[in-house]
Amino acid sequence: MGIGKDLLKISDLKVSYDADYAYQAVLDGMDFVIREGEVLALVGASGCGKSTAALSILKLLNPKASIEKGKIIYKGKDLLSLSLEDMRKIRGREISIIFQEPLSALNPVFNIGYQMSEMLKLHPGLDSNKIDKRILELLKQVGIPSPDRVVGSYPHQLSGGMRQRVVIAMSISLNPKLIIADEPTSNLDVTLQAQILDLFRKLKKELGLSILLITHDLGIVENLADRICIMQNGKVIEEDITPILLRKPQKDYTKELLRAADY
Amino acid sequence: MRILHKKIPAQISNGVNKPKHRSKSQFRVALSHLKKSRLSRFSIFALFTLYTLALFADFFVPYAYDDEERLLSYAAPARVHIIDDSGKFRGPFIYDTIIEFDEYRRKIYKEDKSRIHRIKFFARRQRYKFLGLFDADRCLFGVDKPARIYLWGADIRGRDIFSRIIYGSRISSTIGLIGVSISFFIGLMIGGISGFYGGKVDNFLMRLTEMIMMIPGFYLMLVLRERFSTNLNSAQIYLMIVFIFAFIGWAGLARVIRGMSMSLREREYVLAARALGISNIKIIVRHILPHCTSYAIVAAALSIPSYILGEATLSLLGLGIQDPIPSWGNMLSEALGIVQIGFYPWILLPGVFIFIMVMSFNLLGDGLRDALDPMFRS
Ligand SMILES: Nc1ncnc2c1ncn2[C@@H]1O[C@H](COP(=O)(O)OP(=O)(O)OP(=O)(O)O)[C@@H](O)[C@H]1O
Ligand SMILES: [Mg+2]
Repeated sequence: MGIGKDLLKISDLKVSYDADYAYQAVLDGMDFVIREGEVLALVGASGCGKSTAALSILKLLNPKASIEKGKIIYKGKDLLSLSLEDMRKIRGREISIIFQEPLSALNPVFNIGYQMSEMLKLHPGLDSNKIDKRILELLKQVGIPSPDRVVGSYPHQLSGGMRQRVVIAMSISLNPKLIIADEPTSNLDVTLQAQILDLFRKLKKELGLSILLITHDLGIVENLADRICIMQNGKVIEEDITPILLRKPQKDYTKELLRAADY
Repeated sequence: MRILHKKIPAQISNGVNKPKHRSKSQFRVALSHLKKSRLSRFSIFALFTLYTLALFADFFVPYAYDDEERLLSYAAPARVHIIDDSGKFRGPFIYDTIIEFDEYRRKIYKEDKSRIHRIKFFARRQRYKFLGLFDADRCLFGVDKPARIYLWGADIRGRDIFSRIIYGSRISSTIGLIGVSISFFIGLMIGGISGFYGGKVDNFLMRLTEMIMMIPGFYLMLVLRERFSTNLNSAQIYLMIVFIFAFIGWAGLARVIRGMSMSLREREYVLAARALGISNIKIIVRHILPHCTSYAIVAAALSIPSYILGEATLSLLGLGIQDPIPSWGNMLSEALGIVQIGFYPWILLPGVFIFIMVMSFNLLGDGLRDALDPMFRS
């Protein structure tokens, strides 16, 4: 499969949290590139700054965090220099993000159909009939067996795996080019994990998506990721295409991670 | 059985630790809980009655609110008889009232037993527009002219207090609801925005809120009243009162909603909604404020009484609704002298109605809080 040109390029990113009396640079000198149609896995131990990196791409960081320097170039534009309104147009339509917790990513007050239609209304030129059709189509696409039933259900009436599928359906609903998946499977059991990862693989093939897969588990990325970046203490310390990195890790830290994942 | 009923709520609230979801079924749970409380049932019944009376006031009253008969100034409540002096059953009827004065010029009420006046149902009265739409001239009950039936007595100008109380309920029953809706709209929006944006916006809005909360409500009300011209028509006065209350009322709610909004914005689905490119104002309206509704409903029901009392106070002082339009407050202004209260205690009746309405809203608010509690305790 041909890997395309650079879609997102992060260079020399420095992000710090300035909580009440503790200053902490969480990312420092972070660099990586995602190409078109590629799955990039960002792997690192808990607390190394993976989520922070993901959130800073979409400028969704907590107000206490500040991006001190660096560039986030998406399709030739520096996202950091965009206005809030322009940034909002990037979110969902160009880049979307899936969070760790499938339960809490859905609003408990509204049913699935409503939440999805709210998304799709952002799409110009879809009337309510087409929106309804598109919702069913999306739910089918993410492998939900009886979409008509799910449309009317509330988040708590669905299982964790179903919820995560709904979240994925929402994230692809506006045809983004890049999906950031922040530990999308860490709260699911092993079989579900495999199913969701399969789903990502399928969506990547069908939609030509690029995926930034964030995880601390090297074991799950083997079949999915084209390339792997290993992160430690706020920067990428090693990166390579998957088979090489898994077979010939250079850094001790990577070897340790591999051992932890039973490799 | 009753005891059993009382226990059910406790079982419901055991479900609190499960994640909070408010699907329709839980609203139904809350509703059935509400129905089980005797006090809530009473308050719903009382409010329903009062609102029905207000809505169909024209039909329930025998006289227009400004229909006066000076000769019957401070007439006592009519005594309804069914058996006449000779012991014969005549159906409900009344006698004419004769007012005489004793040596201290106190009124003495006597019944003129020479003629009886049957109370007729669906009697004729002055023409009116039913619900403002259809011409009508019937009312629930009345007596043939020239006799007059003053069920609950008359005021100083000889107007029927019963009719005026029913008409007056229109003011009290709507001013609370409209006032609350407006001030809650403002309170929810300001609280939502303040908590969601935080920072400078929050700082500015909250200082503004505190400024309004700092001033005692009653003085603020008087000052605001002073800002308006003195010759307004009754509709303008009504709007003015609503405006004043809306201006004062939002602050307390805004503070609480701001706190809730602040914690809700940290929820992951809010972050998720932002990540999907949904606009801030939509996030506030769809993803933050709906979670405040339980609280807002209870707070609204509990704050309606203060609007009703506020209107009554303004009108009592002659600053609100003006005679001849009746409101419970301005009707009570006749009862400001000890002499009047002593001799004509029936002019206090509007106070009884204020009491019933205020108490009903309080009970309803308490009932709603208990009913919704399992939902927002989580
Ligand atoms: N709101 C915050 N305030 C202060 N510090 C924070 C905040 N959020 C994260 N941090 C700090 O930033 C660092 C990186 O956090 P981040 O959430 O990016 O880690 P992560 O790699 O995603 O970890 P995990 O695998 O557990 O999700 C942590 O050391 C944490 O202490
Ligand atoms: Mg994380």
